[in-house]
Amino acid sequence: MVVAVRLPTQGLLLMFLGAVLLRIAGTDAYLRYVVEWMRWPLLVSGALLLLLALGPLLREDTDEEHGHDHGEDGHGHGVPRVTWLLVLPGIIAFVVSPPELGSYLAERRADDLVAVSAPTEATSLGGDGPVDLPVEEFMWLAQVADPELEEQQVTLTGFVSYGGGEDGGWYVTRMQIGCCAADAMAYRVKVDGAERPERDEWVAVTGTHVTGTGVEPPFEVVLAAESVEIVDEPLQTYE
Amino acid sequence: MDETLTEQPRRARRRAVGQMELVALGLLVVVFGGQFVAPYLDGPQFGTWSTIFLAIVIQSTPFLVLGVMLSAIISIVLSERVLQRVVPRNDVLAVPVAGVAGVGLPGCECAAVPIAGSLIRRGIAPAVALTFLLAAPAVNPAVIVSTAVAFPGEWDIVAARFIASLMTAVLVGWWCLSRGSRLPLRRLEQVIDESSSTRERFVATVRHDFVHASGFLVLGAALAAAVNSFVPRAIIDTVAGQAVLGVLTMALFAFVVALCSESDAFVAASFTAFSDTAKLVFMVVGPAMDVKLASMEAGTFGGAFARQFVPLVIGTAVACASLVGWWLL
Repeated sequence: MVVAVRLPTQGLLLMFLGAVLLRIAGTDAYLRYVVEWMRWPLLVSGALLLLLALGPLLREDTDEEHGHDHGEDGHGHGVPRVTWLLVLPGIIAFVVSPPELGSYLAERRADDLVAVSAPTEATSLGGDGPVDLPVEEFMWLAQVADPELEEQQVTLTGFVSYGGGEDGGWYVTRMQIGCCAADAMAYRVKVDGAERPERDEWVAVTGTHVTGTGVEPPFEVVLAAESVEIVDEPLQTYE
Repeated sequence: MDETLTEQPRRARRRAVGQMELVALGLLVVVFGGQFVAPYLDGPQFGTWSTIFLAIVIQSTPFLVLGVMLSAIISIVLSERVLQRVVPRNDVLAVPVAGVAGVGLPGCECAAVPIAGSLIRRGIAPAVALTFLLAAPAVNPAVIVSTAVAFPGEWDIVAARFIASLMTAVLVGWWCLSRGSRLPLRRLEQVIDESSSTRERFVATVRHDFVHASGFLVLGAALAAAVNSFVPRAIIDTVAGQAVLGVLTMALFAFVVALCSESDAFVAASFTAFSDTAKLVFMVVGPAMDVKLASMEAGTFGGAFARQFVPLVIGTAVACASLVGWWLL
């Protein structure tokens, strides 16, 4: 049987959770889990949890001075034992420091049909050199068979995920999150004509769209690669 | 088990000091020793689970903090007179009013649980508070906007979601009303007696509500993250063609993945193989009930209540969404 959580320990658990929020939001690590505007709510609620923890922790001190003559310490009504689970986020954050979502989830979600929506601001195509395009926008242009995409050199940046089977090809991949990492969707474009790099390696692939791919379900868009460059992982890995 | 009654309190007290010190020591070990264990835990499955788990916890915690602050304001600061003026005296009428009032809380479902608890504590009929709990995460402006963005140009889906969610909340509210005192609700009392200062009572209520809900939130997040990272969606797609099975699968899926109501529309939109009605069911069930909410509600209102409330809400949500879907979509 699990021991009940006593009041000073409650304070400690709250403090730990608050510290986790502050630590995650204090660095860029929070971008792996939630969207950008969550930073301030995380900092504020982390600080509030620390304040909240002070009460029970200080009360413990006074009890020490008074030689434990307060008896049951004011927590007559039981706190649910599940409260112990509050240590779990902290343990995970400090021990595992979970990475951003990568090829494992993207490959498991490979058969999902992702909803590609029109970009809010379209990148202007045309010109001689390759144009940097978000993976989702490239998939959108392919799906609506935009005539401007033909012969247009583009550069897609993302991490590497593999197709099924022994050599199912490889994909340049970006994850997208709406609220937090739980609702992540994988956008991927198959790369043709280039040796496949290691899983989760970040690459910038330059090439042209293979006309006609990605128009019909399951919307697999193919990029005929001319060059594949290994690049540094960006700060914001989600698109 | 063989200790005498007189010995027990002394032993318990000795453990009280020991517990806090033990936990503090454990946390220090985790904080400073964690980096040495990390290399052994880098499997991609575990990594993905922990990312999603931590994401759900840290996404929900600010909303839960907001919820317990609002709930403490309702419990402590709001005067009896204000409360009575806001809530109609007639409970049958107050239920739909509470449903529409949900429009005013643009937050996630985690914020609504402590608020409903504090409304009950203040003597509002449980049926009214529970209607608010069900409606708020589903009908607020943030959710309506995100649904409209996820389904561009498909206003009928946005309208259907609003109507079906409100209908679910009000119907469940009226059911609770009809059960009256037979509802197996845990008695919720003011956390601290009237003698202490307002500030003390405020802080104690915030802490009490947070501690009572957050453990269950973590439990729900752990389960939802497991489903999210280990159950392939392809399994779900196999039933997409079947009308009834499709609807039931989407309802079950909404319950187990426990998405935030502000982003579930995007996930629903990605189930392109399913009928619009099935997608609607996903978006109506999710905000009203999921594994994280069920866990928190069991903690706040008691297990006996949750065992009746959870299946009832899911059933009503599926029925309302199917009906509205058949009518509008």
